[in-house]
Amino acid sequence: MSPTLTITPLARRLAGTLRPAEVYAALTDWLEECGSNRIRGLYLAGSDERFHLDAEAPHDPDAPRWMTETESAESVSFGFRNRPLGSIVFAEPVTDPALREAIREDFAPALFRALYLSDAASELAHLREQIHYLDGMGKFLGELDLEQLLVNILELTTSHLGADLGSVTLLRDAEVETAVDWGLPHDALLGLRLREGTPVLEHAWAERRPLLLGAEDLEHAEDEAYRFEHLVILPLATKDAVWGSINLVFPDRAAGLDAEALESIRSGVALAATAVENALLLEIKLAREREQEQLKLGQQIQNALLPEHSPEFPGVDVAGSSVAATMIGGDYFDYFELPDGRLGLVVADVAGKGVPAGLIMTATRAMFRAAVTKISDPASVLGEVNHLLCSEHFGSRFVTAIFAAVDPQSGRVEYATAGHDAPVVVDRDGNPIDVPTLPALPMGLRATFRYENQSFSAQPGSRFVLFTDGVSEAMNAEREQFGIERIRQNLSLSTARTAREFRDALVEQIDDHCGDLPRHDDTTLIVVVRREPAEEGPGHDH
Amino acid sequence: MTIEAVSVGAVPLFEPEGAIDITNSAELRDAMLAQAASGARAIVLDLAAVRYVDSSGLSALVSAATSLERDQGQLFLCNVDAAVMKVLEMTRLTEYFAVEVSRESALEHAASLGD
Repeated sequence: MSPTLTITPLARRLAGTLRPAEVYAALTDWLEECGSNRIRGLYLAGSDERFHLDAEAPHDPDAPRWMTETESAESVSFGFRNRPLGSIVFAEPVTDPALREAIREDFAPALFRALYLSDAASELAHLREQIHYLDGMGKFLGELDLEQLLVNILELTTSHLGADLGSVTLLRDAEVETAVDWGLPHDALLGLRLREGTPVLEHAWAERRPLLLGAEDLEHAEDEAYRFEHLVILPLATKDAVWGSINLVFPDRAAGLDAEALESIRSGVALAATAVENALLLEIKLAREREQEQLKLGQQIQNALLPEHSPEFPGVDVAGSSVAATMIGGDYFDYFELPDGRLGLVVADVAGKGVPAGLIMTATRAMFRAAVTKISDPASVLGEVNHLLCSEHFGSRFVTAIFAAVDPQSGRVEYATAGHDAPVVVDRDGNPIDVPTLPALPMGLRATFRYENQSFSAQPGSRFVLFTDGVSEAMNAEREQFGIERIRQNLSLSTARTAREFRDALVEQIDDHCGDLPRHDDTTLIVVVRREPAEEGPGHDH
Repeated sequence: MTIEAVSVGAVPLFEPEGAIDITNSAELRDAMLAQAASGARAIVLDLAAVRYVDSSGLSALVSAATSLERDQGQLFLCNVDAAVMKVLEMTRLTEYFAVEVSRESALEHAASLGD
């Protein structure tokens, strides 16, 4: 006969118990049934705290702590597989050895199993939480609408961690901005400093790792409403940059995050950072495209402000060109029929480049157009425009210009300059004709400045160029300037006959000189050819 | 070229080298404007080592001079190279800036403005 397998009454009660509390309840029920000893407390090894399985058990501060070595008459120590597990302290001495045995043989293994299971279960629950957060973030990866993305991230994070208040703060265009907030105002956060004075956000972003702060870590503002007991900053950092942070406020440290909770959301926050990076980069790209679109429209308008056709004046053939270094330029040229019947020409250059220069150029063009409705004298035209420019508040931006009035009958060219080069002139045989430049202040600096006229005679066949310094100072790879001499040579040696041909040859030569180098400055020029009498008629530039 | 003000007494002094052109004019302008904004009445620009000033360079100098002028201050240039002087004369900017022969006289005049 094999030995009879005896199932003790306690073992029977313990069957089917899963949780530690159920195991403990089985023990107390059994003890009660036996009418036996009352339990004062149960202590678990490895824990300094009383293990309150029985919520109704009165707290007994005098109850002895767990110590295997000092098992007393009132206590029973128990373990599992040679590992001490805990002890039970009874109200009265334990006289019945069967009670000790039941605790060691039946209760201890059942409790061990239950504790093990509960550990595993809580680990599993923890993992599930982690996955829930990670999974939630993963779903946002495709969200490219930044606002919606941030709302999603904040909602998921605050609800996942049980925060009171929260916000997402971004670093956009070098400015710190609270993009979405859930009860955590921008100012409250921005003003927060660590005790040693560093702004909290700045510190967390520089460290690129989560920051857990208590009220004692923070230098508090006078406004008590902004006193935070527990603040958590989670920087949104990718390998390339810190884009901002998720900021959370908890009622107190106990409700807040510990290192373990922080670890569990680490991957999720990293995913959030990537999603934010994607959305921000897309936003930057779209903004740049819109900006380019605006610039393109500006460029079209600016091009439309340049003369479409060359002026049709008997005896003079004219062609102009203006190429901006950036999309919007500060150079321009224009033609006019002056009140006294002469042909008016202007080439002007606003200091600086880009949109500001382009806007001033537009204003300058209108001022010239207004001035020439009543003034024919070049120096007076510059004086008038200078006066108008000085009355505007364009900062220290100035405009250099050359204004010329050509008499188509006599070929006499009267001109005035404002901080600008004189024209380059050659006669019909290509010999250079030196023309003077009177030193003169650019326009827009001194309202009282008096400009003066110079003149030269352009005989039939001779030609001249008005140009901006973008032409003479155009640089090649060796930093060598195009120079005035090359302009002169072009006029002398080119086989061109019409102004348009001269202009095209000159523009091509400047292009060749600069090669693939980006232009530093706008290049603007007007070529004028005094026609031979026989040539009268053709040669217009359309 | 590093563009930093060397202070002689209360007067900020700049000593750019080589060229003042599109590659560095904005930097020089900003450095001078920063001095003006922080209360300098006069700035001295020693051009002894400058051989070339392009239009963006002139623009930078005018910006600084205009900013100083607003508070009755002035931009002083000294040791101006002949080629650079030609550009200043052509644009009559010799009148817009105070052009001094030596650094000593520039600093002396500049310091008297600061009082």
